[in-house]
Amino acid sequence: MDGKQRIVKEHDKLRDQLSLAAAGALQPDEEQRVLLHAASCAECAAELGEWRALAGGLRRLPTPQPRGEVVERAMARAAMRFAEETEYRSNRRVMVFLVAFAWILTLASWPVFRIVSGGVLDWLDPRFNQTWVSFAALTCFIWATGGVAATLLARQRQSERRTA
Amino acid sequence: MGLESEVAQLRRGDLDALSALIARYQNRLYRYLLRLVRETADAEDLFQQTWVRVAERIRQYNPERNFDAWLFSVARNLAIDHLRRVRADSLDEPVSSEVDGETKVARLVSRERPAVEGMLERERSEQLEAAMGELPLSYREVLTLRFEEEMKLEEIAQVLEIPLSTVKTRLRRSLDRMRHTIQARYPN
Amino acid sequence: MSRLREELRVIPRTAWILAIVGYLTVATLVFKFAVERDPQMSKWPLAGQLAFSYGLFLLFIAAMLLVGYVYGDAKRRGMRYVMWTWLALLIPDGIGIILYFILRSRLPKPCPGCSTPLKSGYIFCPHCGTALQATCPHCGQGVELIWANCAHCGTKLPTQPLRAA
Repeated sequence: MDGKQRIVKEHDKLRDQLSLAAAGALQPDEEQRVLLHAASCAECAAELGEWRALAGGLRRLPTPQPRGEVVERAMARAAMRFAEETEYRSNRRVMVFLVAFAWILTLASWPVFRIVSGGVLDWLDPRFNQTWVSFAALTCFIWATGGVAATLLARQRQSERRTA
Repeated sequence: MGLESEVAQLRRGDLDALSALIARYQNRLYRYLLRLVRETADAEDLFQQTWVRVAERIRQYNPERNFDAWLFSVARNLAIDHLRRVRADSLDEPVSSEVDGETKVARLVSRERPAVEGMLERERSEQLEAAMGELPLSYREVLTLRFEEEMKLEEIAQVLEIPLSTVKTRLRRSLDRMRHTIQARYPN
Repeated sequence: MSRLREELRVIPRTAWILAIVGYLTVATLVFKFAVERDPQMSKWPLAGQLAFSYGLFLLFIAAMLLVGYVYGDAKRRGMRYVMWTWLALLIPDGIGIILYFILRSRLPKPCPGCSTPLKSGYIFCPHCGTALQATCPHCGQGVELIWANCAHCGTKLPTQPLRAA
């Protein structure tokens, strides 16, 4: 009884794997076991044959093909997007460089301003010598001018675009 | 030009490589999308969207990764988003409208069929396609990737973003369901 | 890298000359008058003073070249290049240059019919009348080749061949 139960259990377990065997989805040793069993069990062999027929039918399904215009349009759209991305990335790199440059100029203008004001303009206003606050104020003023100019120009550009 | 060099050239900005890649994958990608969304118009639109997405993201693609798996997972994500948006409730419903006795799915797909095929074989293929169209999405996916794409289980696991053991289980269940569906529809 | 070289060619030769001559002049002036007069900097070693005058003002060359680029680039894009050059020059700390790069218009493309460079955005060439873009059959406005519907009036566009008119 015990041996027969074991054989039945083994048979059931392997039967579950028949479909996977037909799909080629088993490890080599697992597949070996299944094939070995099928060689001696007529029921499983028949079922394996059915699974194989199904798998074969699925493999042989004809491939639907896209229409030519669909492919052309895909290429056109993708190419356009690609060019956009490339331009976007190079613009970003230029921007990073320019912003870094602007900061360097800002920082460099401090000692220059100090030199100039210390040496040549010292008769103007002694308060502006060597205070970090005044440098910060100068920088803020410069960037604020820039900000205002940017806003005005952007608005002008927008209205130009609208009428164009 | 091998696949790897095409991808590398595309990453460097060569648009000819894009055209070569599209040519290389066009049928397979279209077939996969068609199996997922089951409508020609949607598959065509998603086909274009997939390539646009590829153009967008090719630079973030890790060349060590399997390109097939990446491409198909891009397509899959777009398809699933589409299905969720268009038919939120019917992600897994079979396409069930009958026209002229044939199901809609069989009619849709057989239009693109190449002419070289025996009559019996064609009938058999149509039956299989119709039956597959009735399966839930997750089953259709794994069947098409395994049998039509002939992807290895590891690749399927990458595309579907599930563990390998789940792929095996799903494959077995989908084959079972396929068999039941066929026996129910065509009891010969 | 050849892209960089292409872009550098936009800078007019005058800008290069002004940049280098200006640099030498300004740096020397700063060295001679400002550095020596300054109470703290005159105590620096000579190498430090030279580094300050001639090293720091290398930035001057970069700034001048950028202004030159703005001049040349704005000119070839059909923008108001005099205004932009002044802005790039006068708005301090390179902010004018940043503004220019953000706001510049696209490069003009030559007309396929008469080869005149045209600003982007035109649908027909103002010189020879060649159609530059496909147009909507309903409202006549320009449409992109890859659109399915007209973006101006919404009409569904016929599946047209992808080659331009």
